[in-house]
Amino acid sequence: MNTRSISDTQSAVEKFSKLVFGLALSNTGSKSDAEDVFQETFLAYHRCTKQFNGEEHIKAWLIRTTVNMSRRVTQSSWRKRRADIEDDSPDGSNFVLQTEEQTIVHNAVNNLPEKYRVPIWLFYFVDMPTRLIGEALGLSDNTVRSRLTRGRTMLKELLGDKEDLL
Amino acid sequence: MNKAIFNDIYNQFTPDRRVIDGLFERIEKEDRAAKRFPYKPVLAVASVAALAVLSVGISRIIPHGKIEIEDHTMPPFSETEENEIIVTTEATSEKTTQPPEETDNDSSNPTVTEPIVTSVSEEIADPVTSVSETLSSSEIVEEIVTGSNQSGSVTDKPSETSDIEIVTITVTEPPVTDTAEIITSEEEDIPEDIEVEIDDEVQYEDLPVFGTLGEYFEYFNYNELPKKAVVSYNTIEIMFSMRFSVSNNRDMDWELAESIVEAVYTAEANENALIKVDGSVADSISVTIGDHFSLSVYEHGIIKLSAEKANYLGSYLFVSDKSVYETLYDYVAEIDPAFAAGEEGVVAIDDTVSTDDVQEVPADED
Repeated sequence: MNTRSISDTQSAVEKFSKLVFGLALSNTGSKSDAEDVFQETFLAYHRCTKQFNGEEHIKAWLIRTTVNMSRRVTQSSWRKRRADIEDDSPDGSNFVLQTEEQTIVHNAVNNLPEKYRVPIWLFYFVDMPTRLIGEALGLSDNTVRSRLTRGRTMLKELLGDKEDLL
Repeated sequence: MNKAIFNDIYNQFTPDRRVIDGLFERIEKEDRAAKRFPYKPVLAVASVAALAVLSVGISRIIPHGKIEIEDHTMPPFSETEENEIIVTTEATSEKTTQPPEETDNDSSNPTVTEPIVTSVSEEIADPVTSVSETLSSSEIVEEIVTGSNQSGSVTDKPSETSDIEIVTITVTEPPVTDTAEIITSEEEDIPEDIEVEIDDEVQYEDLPVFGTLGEYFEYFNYNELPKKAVVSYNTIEIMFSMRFSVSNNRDMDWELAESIVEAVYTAEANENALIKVDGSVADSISVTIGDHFSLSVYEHGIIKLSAEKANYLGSYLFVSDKSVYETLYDYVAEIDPAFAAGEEGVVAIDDTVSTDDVQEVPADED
């Protein structure tokens, strides 16, 4: 079985661990699921013999894979039946942020529909330009911008009187 | 937007050390296993293919009932005896086995209510194993027209620029009888149309099984072709690959495309809204699902659906659900303001065509 070298995979983990874990956390809403997605995504990367054209290409591939791995996890029947235990986090994810304001914003983003959540997440958390978001998600630049606009509006509605946090 | 708060949150997205350590333990374990036995993928493919053939054969040989070997004290074979073992099966209930259906299209039964694609995904867990049949888009259109056996006019064929490669899995079932003979012979009864094809270009490990067509489309990098995946849609397992002929300027809503396919699945002709679309745009994405549906989504939301079940092939799209139509209208209006302003648009209700002009969908045979 041809796989990528371990040092190559280690390098990718160092560079993109926050991206993959954070996106998985946002899409699954569970720390334990996000950890599973994190491992599966980088395992897939390690097994993948595809030649990437630079870091942006790797990043785009990891984003797509993370999103799809997260869907697979969230749609599994096992997960639907499972009840998380020892969950002390405010949003039920088992992931605790430093401040209440951060938790409020994070929860609001996580409560967006996926269609808007992922572009918003990549734009604000990762600071990715819309062109690269489009390439990663297979969307045109205009579609990404449109979703960002709608997502922002929905985000403000979700935050209500906390809108000034943004 | 206050980007600082997002930045502060993002910096906390650090997985626990044990997760990263666990990842590399798994990687090292896999690598070690691969070095010990590097032929695992080949063996897996061969095993799956053998299992598929065996399962088909056995299910045909022993359809019902139990097996009894007539004589347990069978004398040893002599050189003069025929090397033949006869096993009989007794049906435990009334004979229910039906003779095999003709593989050719039966003109007296034009309505195909079940997908022709036979799912073997449960038996063939490794999607590397596939049976492929490549059709050009014109052949696909021809198949749909022939398959539907309808006289509806074909007003517009898919663009010749859309190259579609379909991978289907078909199993031809041999005749079934209640009494079967297993004859040891050098000629094995393997269905001729089962082939095993290994596509080295595709890293199947990367591809999850998608629940929807929309997920399938969203997953791929459109610039790297061809791609393959398994789409599980409405319990129909479809394995296909497709080649895109699209420009970089894509503005498509795959959720909409999916909802339209969904609508067609439940289409009832008399309640359909008709939406006229302009099929002349060259850049398109076409999907053929089994032998039933061909969905083309052109740039700027122009959609053409050719569907046997919708009983019409051409430049009109059937949408059984008004909400789907409204979604389509809103979508096109959003990306094409001229349409919303009542000027020339790419999608419009065609008042000149009524449902009376369209043949009714034949009732399902079952």
